[in-house]
Parts: sequence; structure tokens; C-alpha cells
Amino acid sequence: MSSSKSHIVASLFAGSGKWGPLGNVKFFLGTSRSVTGTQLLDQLARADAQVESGVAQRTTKLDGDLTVTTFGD
Amino acid sequence: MSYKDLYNYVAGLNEYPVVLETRVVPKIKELSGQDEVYFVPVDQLDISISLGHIKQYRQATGVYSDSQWITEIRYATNPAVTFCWRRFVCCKELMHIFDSPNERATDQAKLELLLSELETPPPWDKASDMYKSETRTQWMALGVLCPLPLREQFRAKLEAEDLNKYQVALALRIPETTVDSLMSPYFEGFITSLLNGE
Repeated sequence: MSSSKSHIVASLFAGSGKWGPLGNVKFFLGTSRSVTGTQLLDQLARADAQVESGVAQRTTKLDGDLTVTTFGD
Repeated sequence: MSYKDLYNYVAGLNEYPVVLETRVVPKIKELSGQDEVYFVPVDQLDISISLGHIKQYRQATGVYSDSQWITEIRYATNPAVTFCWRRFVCCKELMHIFDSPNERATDQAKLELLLSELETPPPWDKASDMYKSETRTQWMALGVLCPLPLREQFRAKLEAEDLNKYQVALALRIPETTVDSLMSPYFEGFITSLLNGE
């Protein structure tokens, strides 16, 4: 792993600004069969930046107005 | 904290589609001790690279108070990612809350190893527990979104040709491409082994 990439990873565990020390991170890979660790770190950094700037808002909502059916209905 | 407890809870609901925000997340918080679990829609994720990720971290709540465990499930808002895929991505990432200590990327060396494995997938018998959890959580998510009693109902309707795969996916609000895995003979075995803690 390159030294710059290692530096980015190390900073994640040190915690800075809004972010406390990292406890776990995992990825749902996308449509490309070939991704690099640097690209995945960039995705993490983009999301961090959006949350920090308020462009992306944390929410407890996800499912919209789903109509739930019970067995036998 | 146990996936089995979550699974049994969801299976006992006898309802579909399984709603993540009102059913799954509250139960996970109860079981896991996570202080806060959030979804975060992000419009700058490149879906060729990643559809989403989970980030868990500690956040101080005040000078004299303990820090909290925060879980953020970040997902791509790209319109190419359908509602059903969004639910599946987020459910799969939620399942990482159940990661064992070996499966968590908890330090620099472990995350660097995980990134290198995602870049160049290793042979399965050489893969880290972190890497293996990426596959296992997909089965866990399917089990939550369609537990075995529910799956039996839909399997019978598929076999009777009362419903097709798309209609099953639509009813469960899961991606159509996951229906084959859900209905495969391996699914029951995977869920059984997960419930037995294997």
C-alpha cells in the first residue's frame, strides 16, 4: 500500500474533527469488477465531506411509505 | 448480540415487506447497544466503485460524558440504484453491526488488508474474516428481508406459477436478481448455519 494511502488510513483511526476513532468500515462494491483500495477510500472521503458540510444529512428514514401485508391477508 | 435474535424477531412478524427503519433498526439497536444508527443518502458516490458503506465510530457527546457508538449507513442516491437495491445495500451494511471482533476493520493494518483483498480477491481459504464477512452479510440481509417462513410462502407461489420472480421481488421490495439466491437450495442451509453460529 502506498505511503499516502497508509497516511489516509492511519488518519481514520486517529479521529479528527467530527469523526471519532473508527470502529469498523465495510463496503458494498459497485458495478465494476475492478476497484482499487484508493478508490474505496475516496468514496469514504466523499461521504465524510458531504456529511461534514451538511450536504448529506443523517436520517432514520429509508423505506418511504411501504404498505405492509401480513401473512394470510 | 446475536443475528439469531434479530432473525427470529423478523420471522415472527409474519409480514412483508420487512421495513428496515421501523422493524430492523430498532431491534438491532436493542440487541447491539449501538447508540445511534443513521442512514445517509450521498449523491457523490460512484456506483461503479461502491453502492454504499458502513462507517462505525465513536463520537464524544460532551466534555464529561461518555462517547457514543455511531453507525452510519451511507448509500448512493444515484437514480440507477433502485429503491429495492437501496434497501438491500443498506440491509447488508446493517448486518456488519453483527461483525465479530475478527471481522471488524478496527485498525490501520486490518483496513489496509481488507482494501487490498477487495482490490485483489484472495482464494477463499486464504481470505481474512473481514473479507469473508462481506459475503456472509449478503446472506444475512436476505434472511432478514425474507426469513424462511416467508420464503416458503413465496417459493410455493413461484412453483405454482401464481407469481413470477419480478412479482416476488416487488412484494418483498428486494432486487429481482436476488430472488434466485433466495430460492436456491443453498439458502436454507446458509440461514441454518448462521442461526447455529457457524
